[in-house]
Amino acid sequence: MKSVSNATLLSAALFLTACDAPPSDGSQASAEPATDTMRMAALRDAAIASGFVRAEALAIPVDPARRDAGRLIFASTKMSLNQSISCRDCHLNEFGSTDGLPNAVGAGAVGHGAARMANSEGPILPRNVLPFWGRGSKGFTTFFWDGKVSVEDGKVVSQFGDRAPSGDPMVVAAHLPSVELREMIADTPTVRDTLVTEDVDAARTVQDELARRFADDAEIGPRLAAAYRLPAGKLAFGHVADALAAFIRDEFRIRPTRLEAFVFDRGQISRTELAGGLLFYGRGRCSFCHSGPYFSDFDFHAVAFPQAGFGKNGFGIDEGRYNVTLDPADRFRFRTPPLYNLSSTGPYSHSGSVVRVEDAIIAHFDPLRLIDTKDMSIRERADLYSRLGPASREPLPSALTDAEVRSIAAFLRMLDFKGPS
Amino acid sequence: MRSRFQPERIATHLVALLVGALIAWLALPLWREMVMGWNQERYGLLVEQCDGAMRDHYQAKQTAALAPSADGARALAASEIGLIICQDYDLHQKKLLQWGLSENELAQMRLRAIEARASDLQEVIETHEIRF
Repeated sequence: MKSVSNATLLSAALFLTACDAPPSDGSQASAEPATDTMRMAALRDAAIASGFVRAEALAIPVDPARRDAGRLIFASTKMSLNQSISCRDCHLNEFGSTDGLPNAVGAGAVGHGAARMANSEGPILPRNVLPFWGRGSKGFTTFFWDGKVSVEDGKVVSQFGDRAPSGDPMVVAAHLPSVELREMIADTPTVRDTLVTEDVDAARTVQDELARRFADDAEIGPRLAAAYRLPAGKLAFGHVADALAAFIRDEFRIRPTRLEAFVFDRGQISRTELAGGLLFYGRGRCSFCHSGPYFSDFDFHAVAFPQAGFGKNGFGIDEGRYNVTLDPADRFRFRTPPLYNLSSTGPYSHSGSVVRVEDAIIAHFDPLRLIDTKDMSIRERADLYSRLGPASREPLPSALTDAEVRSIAAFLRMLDFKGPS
Repeated sequence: MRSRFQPERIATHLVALLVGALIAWLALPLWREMVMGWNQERYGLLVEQCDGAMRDHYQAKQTAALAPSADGARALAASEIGLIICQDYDLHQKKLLQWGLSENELAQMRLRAIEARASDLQEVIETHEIRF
């Protein structure tokens, strides 16, 4: 009798095993540690070949005194000509150094997160706030969505032309937000009449005033002067920007990740993460552009994301890199965003139009799935067709299933790390 | 003491064996149909994905040979990793063989996968017509 029951159990087990087929759309979500040595070795090799390095290899040491002065500058509204906004207002730790909103809200806004957009009078800016992870570390040389600060042939290229205030692109980038109208300067008639001239001298006028303020500040002035071994009266905006850059460079440096532990220290990886990693470097073709130590080639590419908000060029249009180069080939191209701490830096894309990482991945190969064209005006559809053109010429991934997209998202979460609290 | 091998007990066992074999013989096609039905979608997807990965690899190899470049080398490396999906396909196929499907039945499943996307007769014809 016992043998009959055993046989029945065995049959049932065999039947259930046979029925336990993987999901039809491709891969199994599994938190179980992967054991496939061939695939793990392939992923390690691919990550290293694509430029992945240990976090410690990217850090640039900073002067602690300058960093500490920069920390105070970062949180001070004195950086805004109207004293209405600080860097910290849009770069919050709780949102992974962004503001958690699709489009930034500039000078005059109050509150943080959704409250900032819902309850305040501040102007809505055309682009999504970029996170700071890795900014100014080794090899991170292209800044902002459209790369308006970059390094070419060893020289900093920016809107300062041949009068760049520093040879360090991070310091040059730190010069820009304080003179961006509506971002850190409220758009008032006086400002428009006296300062909106689109020349470097107007920027210098604003920044000389900001430097005076910081020099006169009872807390920041002495620290800044001591950090640069200068009397407070000799402090210039270059010192303010340099201290700010030192803070950002140190505070938002890349820390060790689970991927680093997997690649260099034989750490664990789940089966889903392994599948996602192999898709990232394989059929997904993600690493064509998301390569190098920061998972960005620092080049410019087009992805037909939905457009949220008014857009840099107005009426829901943002022509991206074209605004910097005026080269028609650059229309709708944006700098490849680095991928560290992706989980906490949403929403995604240059206009923050996509909330989930999975949708951001889908936008690369199936953008129409995220858009209801029937709800769009003829003009909006025409703009969409313009974006689809350059996007279709990018190295598009294979058609990925939803499970495969989820596994890539799981792999990307291996790039999360705990930043400053 | 009665023998454990009495003729009537042997006959009973033989009858049970025959009935069991008959049931197994009748159930086998049903079992195979069930395994095929259960695995058609997954197997069909793997057929399609492996086919795409092989095509990508072939094209990347050609491009790298005809016009060598860093981009081409990167595409080739990615397409090589992409071929891992064909190992998934092989493993799944071996599992189906283990569960009793024959090569003929696997071929039938592959055919279904190829034709699943055929929206009209012309596509079916193109799949099957002999070309010289």
